[in-house]
Amino acid sequence: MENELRAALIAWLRSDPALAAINAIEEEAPLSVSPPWLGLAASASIDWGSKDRPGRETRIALELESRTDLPAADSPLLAAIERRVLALPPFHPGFEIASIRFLRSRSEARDDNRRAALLEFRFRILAPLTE
Amino acid sequence: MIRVSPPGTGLVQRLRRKAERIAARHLRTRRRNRAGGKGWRSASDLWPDFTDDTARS
Repeated sequence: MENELRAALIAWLRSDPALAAINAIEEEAPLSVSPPWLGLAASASIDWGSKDRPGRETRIALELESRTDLPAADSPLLAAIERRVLALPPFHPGFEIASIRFLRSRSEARDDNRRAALLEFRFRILAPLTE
Repeated sequence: MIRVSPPGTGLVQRLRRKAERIAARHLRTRRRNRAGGKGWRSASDLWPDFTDDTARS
């Protein structure tokens, strides 16, 4: 379920016109493309199933790297990413989303006028109901 | 036949090897610092309790 969630999340982010300014949205980080890029930095899952339905609690960290001198220049992009992640539709092949929650974020300045931010989310997902 | 190295050759080679090791270490550190995101790409670094098996046994 975790891999299906990762794939669905990447596809969902790529299809957002508000994130069109990002050069690459990939399932890896760091990327060898010019900033801004967005990569899936890390993920992990634990059991969150019920008696009759397998489930996972999955944490996913997204890393955005941009090139700017201004500390707040990537704020609109970060807000757009957060909005998009929280708006991920609930029904997908292979899993259903019970809840999505923003956990925390952090930022850092890097060499060559690059700035990076990490956004962490918690997803609670369930296997689809079988009729 | 006995071959004798000129005095100081061994010392120069040792110093060169040491300088190369220092340069390689410096390059690795520089690459790591330039990449940034220390601990950002490891689930166990980000969420140590979450990924710790013993915490849920």
